[in-house]
Amino acid sequence: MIWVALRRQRLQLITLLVLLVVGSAAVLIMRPMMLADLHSMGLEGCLTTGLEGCGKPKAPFQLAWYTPMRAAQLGLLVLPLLIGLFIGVPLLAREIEQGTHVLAFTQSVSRTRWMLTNIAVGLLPALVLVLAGQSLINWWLSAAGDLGPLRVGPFDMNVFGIQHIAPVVYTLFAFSLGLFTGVLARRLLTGMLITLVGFVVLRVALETLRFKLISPERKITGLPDTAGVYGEVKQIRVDSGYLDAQGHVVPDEVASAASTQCKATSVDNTQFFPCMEQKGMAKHFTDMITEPMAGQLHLVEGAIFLGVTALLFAATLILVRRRT
Amino acid sequence: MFWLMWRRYRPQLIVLASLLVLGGLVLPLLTSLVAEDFRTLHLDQCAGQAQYIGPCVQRVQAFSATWNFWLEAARIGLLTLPVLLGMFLGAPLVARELEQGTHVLGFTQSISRTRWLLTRLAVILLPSLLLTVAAQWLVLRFLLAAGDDRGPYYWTRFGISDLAPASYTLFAILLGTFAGALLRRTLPAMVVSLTATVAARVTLDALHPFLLPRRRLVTELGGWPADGSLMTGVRGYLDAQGQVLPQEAVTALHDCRQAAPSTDQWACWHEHGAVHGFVDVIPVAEAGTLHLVEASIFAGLAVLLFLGTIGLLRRKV
Repeated sequence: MIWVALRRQRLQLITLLVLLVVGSAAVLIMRPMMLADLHSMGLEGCLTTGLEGCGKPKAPFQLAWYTPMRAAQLGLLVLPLLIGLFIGVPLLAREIEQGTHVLAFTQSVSRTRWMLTNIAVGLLPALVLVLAGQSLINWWLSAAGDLGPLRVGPFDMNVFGIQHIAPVVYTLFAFSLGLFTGVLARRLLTGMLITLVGFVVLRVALETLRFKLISPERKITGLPDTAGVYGEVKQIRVDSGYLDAQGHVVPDEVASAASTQCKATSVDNTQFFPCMEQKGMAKHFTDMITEPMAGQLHLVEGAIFLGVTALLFAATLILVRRRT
Repeated sequence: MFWLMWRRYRPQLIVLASLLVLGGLVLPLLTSLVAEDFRTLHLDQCAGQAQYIGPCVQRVQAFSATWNFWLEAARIGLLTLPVLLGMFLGAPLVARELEQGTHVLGFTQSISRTRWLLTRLAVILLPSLLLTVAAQWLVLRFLLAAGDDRGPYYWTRFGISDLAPASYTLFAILLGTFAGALLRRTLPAMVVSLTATVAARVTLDALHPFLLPRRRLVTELGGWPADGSLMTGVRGYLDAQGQVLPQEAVTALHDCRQAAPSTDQWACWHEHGAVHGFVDVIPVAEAGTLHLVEASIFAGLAVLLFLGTIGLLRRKV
């Protein structure tokens, strides 16, 4: 059974292998080249001090290396979708479209086993490629520190999608969506189109909802607000406002009315903040999603994708078993 | 013939029309919303200011938090549109007929194979180009309303301006058709179409600095032109007479870095004869010409691919 599945997906598996070999070789060559460039431009110090503390021209380095690094990052971001489109959809859709599933269905193996073997043979090598790509590319990009594309922090959409469990769960989701739409539409092209749209829609939806998925950390400061969170790009500010003496959140309209009145009567901050305190704004709060919370956020988002994946696999199995 | 083609490609044409309608509804709505946000936050006063310090920081960050995602999505959507059209419309155009054997009926009718291909291409190509150009107009209006001011050579900007989207679409669809005629199978043709279109785009992007004559910009030592000109990778130092400093002298400059603290570094460089820096660039004003050159290359390749497809089809028995 495994041998048949291997033969059937020969072309896909060879493509995955070629991608793995070429991709690994490229990263293994590029990383030392980049480090040598960093050294010859004397930029090693800039990796830890950040862009401002560096004081050396870094534009030539970024001009040479930013594009390859971004390309690797983008490649890893679209890889799950490509796996879903080109391995997930054709796996069952092509058989059904060409009628060859009839032969398989009339053999002694059960449909469930037929499907599971085919899935395993297609999916496992794909996951190996994704994991290898993820570790190699992150290893390369982190070597460029704040001079590379990772400087925007773990919550940027291009960084979030290539770290932690994200690439693997996206791959599982894309693959299961491909299987399901292929069986449902019974045609390759339609299945591919629906998979493309479906994958992009769920990714985008969770991208926009992401910071509502976990409860943020509240930082409370006295007035004036000294948290200084605006300049920090690596964390996300979800909400901010004022608390009264009992520690309850002051409604936005009350706070902004008070702020308007105080602005009218004060010349600078030394009068403005006491005025606000008089009106009951005792403290300032900022709700933040901080850098260490990225892992938690990955787990929550991953759980949603895995839940959808499980549903899709189950639905595919039911469709395949019911088909006459 | 056209009636037949309409019946044959109905789902594809309906998808294209729906995309057009969807874009035509959503993008103008986003454009008016973003323009209003831009006005209420007074971001026109912030143009050219530093991103992480100064009075604009809060307003710029509030604006980016809301809009960056949508702006990026619009850019990426328009950049990938030609690739998707080539993959989903170009590749199956001939491949599916050859795979399922339905070309036999077409080839045994009274029309020539060239006409058979031309009608199919026209039915797919013209609506695709229409969609691409309409999407380009809508997306650019959206980006301009958001004050997008990256230079014309920035890769997400170059690929969506001027002739670029239309020429990419033309090329991608003909490449897909050719791959289909060559491989005779839909799925491999789609993979090849995707890979080759991306490869051709990346290659031509990398070739941009070599497509037009360069101009030498003289800068301060350690300076860097920030007007968005296209860098060609050629840079160096000039001495007091305006002559390019030879390589040995440039290597000597690197010793200044170790010898002197960064404040006296330029004095040390002056002693070694470096007075100005220079960078060879393609100026911002030449962007239109570069678009023309690139579009002609893609159009030329498209013609070759078309001839190749006809050659393959005419030989097929």
